[in-house]
Amino acid sequence: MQKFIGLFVGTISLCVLPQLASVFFYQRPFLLTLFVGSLFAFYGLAWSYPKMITYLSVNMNVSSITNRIKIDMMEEITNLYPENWIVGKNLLYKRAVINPDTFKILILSPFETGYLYSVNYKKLEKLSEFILNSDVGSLFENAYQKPVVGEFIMKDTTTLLALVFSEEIKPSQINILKQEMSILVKDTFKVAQFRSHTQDINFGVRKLVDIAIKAISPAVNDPTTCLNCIDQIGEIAKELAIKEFPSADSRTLGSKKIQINEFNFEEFIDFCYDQIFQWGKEDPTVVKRIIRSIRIILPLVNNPFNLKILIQQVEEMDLLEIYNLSNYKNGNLKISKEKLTTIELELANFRQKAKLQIKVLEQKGVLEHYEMHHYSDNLAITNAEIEAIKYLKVYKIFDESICVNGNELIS
Amino acid sequence: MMTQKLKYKIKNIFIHQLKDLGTFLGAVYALVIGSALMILEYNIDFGVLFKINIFDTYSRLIAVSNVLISILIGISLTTFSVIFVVMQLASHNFHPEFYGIF
Repeated sequence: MQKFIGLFVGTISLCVLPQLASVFFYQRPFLLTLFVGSLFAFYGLAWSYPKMITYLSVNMNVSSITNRIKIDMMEEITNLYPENWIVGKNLLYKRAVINPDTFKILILSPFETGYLYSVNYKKLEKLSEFILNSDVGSLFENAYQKPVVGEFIMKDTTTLLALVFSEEIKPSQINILKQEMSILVKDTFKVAQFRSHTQDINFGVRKLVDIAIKAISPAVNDPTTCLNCIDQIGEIAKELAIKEFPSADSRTLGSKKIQINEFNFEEFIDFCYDQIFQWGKEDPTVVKRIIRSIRIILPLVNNPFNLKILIQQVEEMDLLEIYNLSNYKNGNLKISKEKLTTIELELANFRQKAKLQIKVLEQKGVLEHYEMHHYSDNLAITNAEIEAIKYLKVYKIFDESICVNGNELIS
Repeated sequence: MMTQKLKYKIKNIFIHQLKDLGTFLGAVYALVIGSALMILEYNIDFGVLFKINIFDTYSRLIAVSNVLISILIGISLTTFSVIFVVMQLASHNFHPEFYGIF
């Protein structure tokens, strides 16, 4: 589109410039320039304009929009999380927590209010090197990036960085450090009026979720668009489910005393599905598609924690509380009996697939491996790993008698 | 992998550094091509070179080019104003660029 705008503006300029120049150099006709301008104008009218209209009609289609958002997100995921998860790595990532008893200096945002657009990690690394080489370097423990990329930043209010020291440092040293940091922070962080795709996967998910819930709102009533968004979200979720968390940058900087703040898989899955389910839970088509989009990912997920999150996402929807025969008979459900059966079948299929994948992981020895081995010093991560393995083992033997809630339809 | 990374970096430069690619391309057409052609024409007399009545051709071409750019301006303004209204209604909280249309 920008190319078309460039061509149009350029063509108009090429046609106007020689005429303007002729006013001052009336003995010199700029025939060639005008001829080139006219050729461009003819090309613009006969070729580029129809092409632009076709381009617009294709790209304004919701499938193109959602597909493009997904492609951008996939690129970003590949860039941020280049490595797939393999056995021997941590199952999950949790944010580093600052010990409340330590001495810390908070660096507030010097930017005009806006959204955190991006963080330059190379400069963030230099920032840490600068502190380490300063006179308080020996006391420096860690620097914590507080906002996640895409977060709303308020001038002189939002903390961008928390610098943690092993001991309290002198007020004069604090003042010098704060002054230096506010200059360095301006180069490291970028705050803008709009969010960007860079380093912000949640932004793409946010847009897809927004399109989906707008589409199923009673004012619009366009479930196909919503289903399209769920499909694209499913692909993003698939990509995230096989990746190693945290991001490569986060791991590199972690070893250099910088703790980056970013979302983990659990949060991403919540962003992907929670709000769509919230607004679409009474539409069986939407619910079925959500279950299906998660179900088709399951065979690819080798990380037990991620598998647990995906299973939990569906189980915690408590679908059988909504879609059961007693609700149907009481007239609380405004759907046909056939739809009710299909939801139950979809859920049964999901459970079957989930159990199969747990079995596969068990056969590969992954579950046993993480029962015995843990690769993190962080107790919260170890506990979450133990809990995930326990959950999967219990889920595997979970009796599938779904008639308990009155759903005797497919039993 | 390297090519992919390079492609990603170039794309990011385009998105973040050259936010208005249209303005950039417009300037290239108008300033670079326009100036080059005009300097060339100022120094070389094409009338002598091609043995044509350059003043006569030039005055007739002015009328044609004016018609062409009038149509171009007309249709561009109509199209872009419609697009902006539609985009404004459809995506009041996102920049149109983020939907990949602009």
